[in-house]
Amino acid sequence: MNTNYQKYSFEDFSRDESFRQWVLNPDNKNDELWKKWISENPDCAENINIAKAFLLTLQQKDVLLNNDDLELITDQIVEESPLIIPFWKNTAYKIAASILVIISIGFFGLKFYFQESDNMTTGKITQNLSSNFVEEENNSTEKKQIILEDGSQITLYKKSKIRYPKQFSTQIREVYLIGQAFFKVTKNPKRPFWVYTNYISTQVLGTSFMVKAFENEKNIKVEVHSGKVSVYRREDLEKAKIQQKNELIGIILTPNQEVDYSITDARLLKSIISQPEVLVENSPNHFNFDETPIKEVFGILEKTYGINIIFDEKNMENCFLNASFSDESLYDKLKLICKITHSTYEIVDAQIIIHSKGC
Amino acid sequence: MIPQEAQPSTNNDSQLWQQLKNGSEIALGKLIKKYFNLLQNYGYKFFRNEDFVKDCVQEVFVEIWSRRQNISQPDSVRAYLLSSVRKKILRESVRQKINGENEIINIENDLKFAEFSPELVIIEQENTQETIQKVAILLNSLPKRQREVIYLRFYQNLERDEIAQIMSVNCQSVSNLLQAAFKTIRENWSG
Repeated sequence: MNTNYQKYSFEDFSRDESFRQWVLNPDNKNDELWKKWISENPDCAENINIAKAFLLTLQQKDVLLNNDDLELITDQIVEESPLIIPFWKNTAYKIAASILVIISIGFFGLKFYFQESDNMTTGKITQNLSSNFVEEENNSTEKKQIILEDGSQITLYKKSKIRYPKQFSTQIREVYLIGQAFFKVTKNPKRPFWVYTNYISTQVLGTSFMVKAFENEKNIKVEVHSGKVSVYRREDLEKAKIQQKNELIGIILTPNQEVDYSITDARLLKSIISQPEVLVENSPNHFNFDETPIKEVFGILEKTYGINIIFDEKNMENCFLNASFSDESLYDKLKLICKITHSTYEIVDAQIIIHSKGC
Repeated sequence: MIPQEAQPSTNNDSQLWQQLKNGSEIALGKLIKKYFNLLQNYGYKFFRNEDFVKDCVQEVFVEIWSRRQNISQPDSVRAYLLSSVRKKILRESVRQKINGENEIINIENDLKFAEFSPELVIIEQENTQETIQKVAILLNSLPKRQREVIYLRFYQNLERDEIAQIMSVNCQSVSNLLQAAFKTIRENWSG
């Protein structure tokens, strides 16, 4: 037995594990031991009595659940409580948060840019844009229409800014864009129209397209709605200028195509725009396919959207389509066709590739 | 010889907690067996309503189990559980009061640590019964926060930092409360 017990105060006893076991969970064994010890140490009886009363008072009536009840509770918890993963660990939230970060960085970056980099970035491009220019900024929530002296129209989106010379030169039309704008360019093969952004430059060969190049966003996008544009990386253009080369590495875009420039990869990636439009004027709104060979269906879609569809003709020669389409998007149409023909599609280099096991 | 009981169970608790985080139902079962009744005992000190307290304690374990992948490793599992039960009871009672489900519950901003009732203690020996009467009267003469500190210190056998965590105060306040309580007890203990 612990000799120190003789010096214990009632507080000491009430915190002693062995003593507590005896008071709160008595069994024959500890009862016998403590009773024996008390009879041998009658001086301590008072303190022990107080300590015991103290613990029992503090405990009060203890409504104890027995082991079976507790096991039942455990089983219930395990069976009925689904694992909760907090929403901030959820992938969707993560994506949303990162978009928010990019957007807000983009916004602040934009403000910063306006103060700092006017002469840095634009100055490099061309003399025409570093003096005698007009600068339009759209801080409102509405889109802003701008008509240039050559008749070209620019729709400037919010939080965007465009710079253009008061008078275009005779050889070239150049504008500088930060943010997003839609261009409808007056055709003039003798005076090509260029849109510069921070990393890429777009030469307009035809008419209308969208450029989205917010400062500090990781991607820059050019979407073509009609006509043709070619898109170059700025560094390639500058290299070509220095080396006096005529051969340029660019990407030509036709309607319903887009190019994405990822700043991190410094790479241009050609794709199909998110909502391809019907290109053929006066095209029928409805397509009714009655046991139509799949080859014909794809042919019609190719013409309607101006997008190549690549598929294995031999493999799909037994595929026929019964369907009627109206104003679903191109992607919805593709999904439906793929479902019917047990195939899948992917977009590679602005072309649609159909994978099928045959029908 | 008295069996040298109780390895202070802290290491063991931490291991169980880690296993629980990894999804061990056995670890959950062990913690429930070890603490469920102790936690209920604490809960009854605020409300003498067995079903209400049992539900609160069970709910605490449900939440721990559901969120096991993301809960942290507490320094003291026992203090963490007691603190969770305290918060749960406070929240639940506020909710029930607002919903008018339970008119008996009367709380302000904090829980009221109930008075000790000697009638609740069942014991066969006469002399102990008397002492219990005295102890109860003395404890009931203390302010409720001192009563709670005494309960946590002696019945739940906790250290000062654990008590501080449970009652959301600093360690110094716990010491002050304990000192004040003991002063009263010593001054009034006659015999």
